[in-house]
Amino acid sequence: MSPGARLRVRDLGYQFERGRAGKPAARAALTNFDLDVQRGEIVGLLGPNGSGKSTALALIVGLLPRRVGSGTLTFEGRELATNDRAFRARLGVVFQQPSVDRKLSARENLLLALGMHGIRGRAAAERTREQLELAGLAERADEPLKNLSGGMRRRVDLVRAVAHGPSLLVLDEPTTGLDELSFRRMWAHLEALREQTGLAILVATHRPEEAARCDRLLVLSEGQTLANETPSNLVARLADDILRIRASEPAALARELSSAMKIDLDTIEVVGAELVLHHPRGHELLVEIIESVARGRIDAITVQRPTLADVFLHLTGRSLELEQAGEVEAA
Amino acid sequence: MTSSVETLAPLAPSTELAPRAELSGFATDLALIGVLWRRDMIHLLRERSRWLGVVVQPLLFWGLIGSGLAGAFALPTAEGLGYLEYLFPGILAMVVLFTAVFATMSVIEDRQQGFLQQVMVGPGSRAALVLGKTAGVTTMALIQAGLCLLAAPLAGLSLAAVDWPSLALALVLGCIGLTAINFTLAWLVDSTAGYHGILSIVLLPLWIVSGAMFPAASGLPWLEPVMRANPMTYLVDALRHSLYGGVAPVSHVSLPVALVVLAGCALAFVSLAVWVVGRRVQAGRAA
Repeated sequence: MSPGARLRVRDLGYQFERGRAGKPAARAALTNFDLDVQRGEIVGLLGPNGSGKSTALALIVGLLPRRVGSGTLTFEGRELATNDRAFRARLGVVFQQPSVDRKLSARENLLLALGMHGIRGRAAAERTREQLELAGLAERADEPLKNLSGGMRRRVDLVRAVAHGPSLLVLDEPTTGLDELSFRRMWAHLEALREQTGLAILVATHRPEEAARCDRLLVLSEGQTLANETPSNLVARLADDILRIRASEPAALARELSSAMKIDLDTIEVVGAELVLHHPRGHELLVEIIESVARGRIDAITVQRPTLADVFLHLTGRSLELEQAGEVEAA
Repeated sequence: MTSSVETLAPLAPSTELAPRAELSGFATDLALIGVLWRRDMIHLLRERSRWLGVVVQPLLFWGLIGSGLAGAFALPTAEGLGYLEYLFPGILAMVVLFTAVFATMSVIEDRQQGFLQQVMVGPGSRAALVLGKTAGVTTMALIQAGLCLLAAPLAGLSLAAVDWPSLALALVLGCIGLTAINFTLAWLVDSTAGYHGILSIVLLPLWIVSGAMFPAASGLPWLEPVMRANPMTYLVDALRHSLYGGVAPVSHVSLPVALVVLAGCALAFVSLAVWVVGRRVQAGRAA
């Protein structure tokens, strides 16, 4: 933990107040949350829905009130008051849903966003032009955003959030629903910003491919921080190979494998239509499984090195893929 | 989609985006008020359907109801006052009400997944947010009420007799109050359907018992105190007095009293809106 962190969070906590009739009473949404984000660093918050990552971001950007004794925020060496306007002037935020006006053009959206920071006239026009060129949107700068694709609107939202020159950028699941090309463009832009401007970036995500691009990851579950390490160190925690077996009756197959191969049933995870096994020599186990199970019982079987999705499953007992699918369905 | 749009060309900015020198809180608030006002003006110019809803509908309502009830309406205290003429100040109040309702309805979605999200994390204060929105809606209401006034001669009202400063003041104060209270309601409800419900069971009935459609002296004992307690009554009265040059043939209170009450309500409702926005920053957000 460097003493010169651009953003430092200590012992942050939040408890939802008593719910409406029929809902549970107060519950902790976040406890003892610590975080440091350095200049030019990308830090990710990885967790399923309800893990506390959006609550942490909302507390940091001031959308949820911090109560007395519920933690401290320090930005560039200065402790922040609740609702600190000087901090908000140095902050850029990209929300889960683009915070742009779809009836206005990209240019108009950027000019309004800059206007909020007191940047007007020729300076605003020049900065808007530059940002739209960087986002590859110069040719469609004057069309209403409702005519643009979701990926383009996301890019407008990103340049909207950084146009005023913030030193901290906070993104809450910024690529949910984006296709692969838009995802890659978004991250190319973020990495360029980090490289060239020293922008500190804090991003909440449940996409493993997004988490893998962060310099450091905090894994959250039920408001608790389970890990705070680089993605490569997190993956290195799982030394074993991972076997994934797709089957029409995964639970029955798990019992069969356990019985036939003397594998402890508790070590076989059933995730959707898949069985997941960890083994130090995955390829050897694969051969044994194929030989011991009747033909047709297995639809597909793969061996791979662990990924962040596996680390996540290992730490939280929940599948990132299923979380993601659930969110897309809900959306 | 052009190919240049979807390439993966490097996206590095050519220069570091240095933030502007820190503005004072007051300057930042003025900037935010200006941004929100400008945004509302762009919407007003672009959205033609808005004009139909806010200007044409009340005039249609005035023409149909005013003509239909003309034969059944008679005021012993104001002989010769036709119903189209009586109804006209209430129609102006309806334009203000509809402008405030339609312009603040967007706040519901805007703060959950739209433009207002960035305002909430921007450097402007919550008060500037309320004042900026109010400034935009008030300007819209003045323009739209001005258009409606062109129909005043059809109601038998002379534009030469109008007390314009009082009329403008009444419209501005009425609009500030109605925008602020509608903004508060829009901030508190989580769905457009809920907001429509409030419009139907609270705001429209308040307009009806404001003296817009009938005066208090209608033989119903409960009506007089209800009208006195209804802020919209003072808007209708202030507009009515102003249209007659200061003293209307029928009213509940005098013009100065109506303007003072409107000013008090505007101040109270703006304060309420600022308080509510400050307390309930984020609604319905999952962890």
